[in-house]
Amino acid sequence: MKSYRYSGRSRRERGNALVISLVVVMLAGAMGAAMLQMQTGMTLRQKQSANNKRALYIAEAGLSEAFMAVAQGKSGNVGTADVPATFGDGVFWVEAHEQSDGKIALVSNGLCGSGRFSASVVIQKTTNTLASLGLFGDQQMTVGAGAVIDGYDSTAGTFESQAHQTSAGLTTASGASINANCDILVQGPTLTLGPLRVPIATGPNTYIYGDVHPGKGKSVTAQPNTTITGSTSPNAKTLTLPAISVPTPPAKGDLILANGSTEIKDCEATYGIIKVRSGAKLVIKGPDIVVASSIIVESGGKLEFKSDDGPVIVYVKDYLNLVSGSELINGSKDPKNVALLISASQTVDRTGDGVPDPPVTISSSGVFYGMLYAPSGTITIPNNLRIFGSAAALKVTYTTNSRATFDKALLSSSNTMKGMPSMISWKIVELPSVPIVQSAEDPLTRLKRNGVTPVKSAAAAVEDKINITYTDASGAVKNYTGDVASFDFTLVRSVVRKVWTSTNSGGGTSGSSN
Amino acid sequence: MTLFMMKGAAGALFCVLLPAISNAAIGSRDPLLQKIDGDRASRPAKLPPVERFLEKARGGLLRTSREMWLEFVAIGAEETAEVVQFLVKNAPPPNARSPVADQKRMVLLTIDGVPKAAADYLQTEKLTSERMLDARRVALCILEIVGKTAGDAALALKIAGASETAPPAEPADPSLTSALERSLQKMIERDGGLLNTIKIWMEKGDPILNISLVAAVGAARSREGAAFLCNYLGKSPMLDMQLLQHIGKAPGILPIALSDRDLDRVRKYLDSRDPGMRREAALAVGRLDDTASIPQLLELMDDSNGGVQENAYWSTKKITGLRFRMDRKRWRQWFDGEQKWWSEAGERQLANLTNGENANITSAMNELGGHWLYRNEITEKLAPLLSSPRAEISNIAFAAVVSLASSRAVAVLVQLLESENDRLRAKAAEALTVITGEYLGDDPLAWRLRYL
Repeated sequence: MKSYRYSGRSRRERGNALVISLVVVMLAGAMGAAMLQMQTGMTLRQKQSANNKRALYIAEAGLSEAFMAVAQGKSGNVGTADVPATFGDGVFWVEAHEQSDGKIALVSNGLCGSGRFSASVVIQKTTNTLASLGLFGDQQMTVGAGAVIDGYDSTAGTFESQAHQTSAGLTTASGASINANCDILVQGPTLTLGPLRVPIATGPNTYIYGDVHPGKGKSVTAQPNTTITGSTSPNAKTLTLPAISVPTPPAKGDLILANGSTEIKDCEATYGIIKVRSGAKLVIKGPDIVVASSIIVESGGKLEFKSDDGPVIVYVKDYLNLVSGSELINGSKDPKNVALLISASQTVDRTGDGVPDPPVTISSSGVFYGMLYAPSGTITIPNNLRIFGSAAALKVTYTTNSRATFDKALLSSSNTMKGMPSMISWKIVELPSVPIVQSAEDPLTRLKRNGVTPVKSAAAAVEDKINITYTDASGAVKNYTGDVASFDFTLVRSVVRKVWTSTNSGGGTSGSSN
Repeated sequence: MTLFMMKGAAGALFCVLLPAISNAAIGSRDPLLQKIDGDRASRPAKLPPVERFLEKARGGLLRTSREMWLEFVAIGAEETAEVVQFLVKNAPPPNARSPVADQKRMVLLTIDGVPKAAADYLQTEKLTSERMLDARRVALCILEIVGKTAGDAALALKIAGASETAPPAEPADPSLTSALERSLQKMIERDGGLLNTIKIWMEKGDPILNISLVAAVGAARSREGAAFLCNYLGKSPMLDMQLLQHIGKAPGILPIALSDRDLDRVRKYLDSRDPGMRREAALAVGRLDDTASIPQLLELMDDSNGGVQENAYWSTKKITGLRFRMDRKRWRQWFDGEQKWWSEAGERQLANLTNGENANITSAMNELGGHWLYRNEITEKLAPLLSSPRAEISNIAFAAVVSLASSRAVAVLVQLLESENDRLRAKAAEALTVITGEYLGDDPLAWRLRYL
């Protein structure tokens, strides 16, 4: 029997190939595991990044939802950390924090998968584009000698409660806001040479207690014996007079009042000519929207606005003539509730005497609380018409010894003219310390496990009840109080007033009409 | 008898034919005269003022300035304005040669002499005060319109005394409330030398007239006017307030350049005890682009009067071109930084403009172009580089000058419009358009007339 021996090899070297193979395989395995680990890590990071991005977009969607809620008059709170709103593959909730000067800070938290993102915006609650112009003249602004112009805040009380006696009479001595796109002339009293050749004023001085801002590149000329207490720097840009969008409620023909008192209320209507003859009185009682081609109040006639129950908006399309000797009356002293919007622009002969008549003539006496707006017309404020509110027109003249008071409450709220909120700033904020955020779990899965059903974003505002006064298709004024979900908004032609409330809070969020 | 009848018929025939002959001679196709020769049947019983005046002129009733003046007094200021405006607007072109054009020129020449006739009339006639006032209103109305093409300031001032407003000839500067002011404004715009006459009247010391004269000079918005007004600061508080409101009003977006002495006079009022003076002085230095007043403006941002604060803030933004919020500390920080830069690097970079290599010059210009506070000094140093033979240096110099938008660049750029180099002319015209905000093409004369 032959025996085989390995020549030159010791017994100790047997099995080396296996060891080496095992080592190589282990190395390859380790490298593979490491690569797998790396790939998994990369994939997880990419997924996390994608989720964070989605969370950012969801947070932005939350801000948009809250912004629209504020525009509708709600608080801006949408969903909660416990019951958030659902959007796409994730959820969000928005917290609203009221700040000073009508600002609101909205903080939106978006969650998607393991992604988390929080962003915040500060918005100006509502901007009244018309009232923000103050007392405004586009092509001309003249303040006559002896005029007194100041300002007050109707939400802080009556004018009398905020005014005190000054050398100019009863004034608040602050708050005027005069703006223009042109030069502004502030006239002083006529001067004569007195003894020793010293100029002496022959009438009362002119007082403007506040700012006078001419147009961009323009200037203010204040004659001697005028007082301006605020700034006279030019506006940084040309201000635009927004166009008037005249509604078209049902037509009711002409309205000619020869005597007695006539009240129109609780409806929207379009008239042809509204004429109030001497001895007659027309009362427009809110809530009401009146559209007229022409409004003429003759000498001895009266026009009254009653807005205690709701706002009064009057549109004049072709011709407004408040003749000298007529009277304007405001029952309630709230400028936020009355608006006289005049889109008339043509100077034509309307009376048949061969003399062209301007589209707007205001020569009446009395008191007007409200917004006066004539973007294509010339307004001359007579000295026997007291104005509280705002007045903006193509050309404006405050006659000698006239008196006007700007209501700065119109800047942030008005029941006649509403604007959208405006964004002031945006920033990223820290994530809140709540369980749903701190856990990296997919929020939908977590909520499902906890038995919580997130609400759809469009229905996630905390205000779930509404008290709404509106006009329907026939122009009649109706009212509804109850669940938002149960109300048919298609019935609404225009909203007079609405108040949103929440079942949980039991309180009310002050709404606004539009 | 027969002879008598024949003579009468001949006379009647002559009277009938004469207007027709006149019409044929003058030319009835003239649109002016067609207003009269046209459809007589459809005209209303009372002719409009223009047509009545033209009929009288054609009828030979208004041959002299005095006759024309008396006609204007008779029809009143409103109708006079209508007539004179119409005639001035329908003036014949200088090269028009026709009997109609000649007649129009004759009418306008006659009107030119009306102000003197008015002054003589007002000085010699013994009228009631009401009639005198009416006559003065008419005279000032004519001066206001005619002052655009001719006129005499001395006449205007002699006629002065009409404190009533005459109807404005056209939409006027709202700061001018009397016909005298509007007349003088038009004359000053036409002839800056008029200021010498106004100076004589200001020194007579009538405080009420002086207010009108200041308003007229200010509304004319001229460089000479701004310097003129500075001379009267400090004479009376009432006049000072009017002067500060008008000083610095410029005809375009470029600020008016005043001497340091005049700027000093205005700056003094930044420390006035009257908040109204401080407010208007703050605005005036901003309009004048006075960089030296910035330290005082920064102080005024903390003034006790809100109007002063806001005006100081507006002026600071205008002078610096920056848009920081009204935060004095922030502005102070920036200003201190700029001063430090100027002392450490600014002077050196200015020196590099003339001494350095291409790369250094380019880098210096890029850095200097971003410092608005010293734009006037930097622009003066950059000016020679605009016409550098090295195109890249020249281009960067133009870019820097436009970026700094200093009024001191205008004279240099206008001079470059006369260069034979097309590229330089084009660049200069473009730079002027951007800096001034006006388009006057590449005609150096047009720019000179407007800005120099």
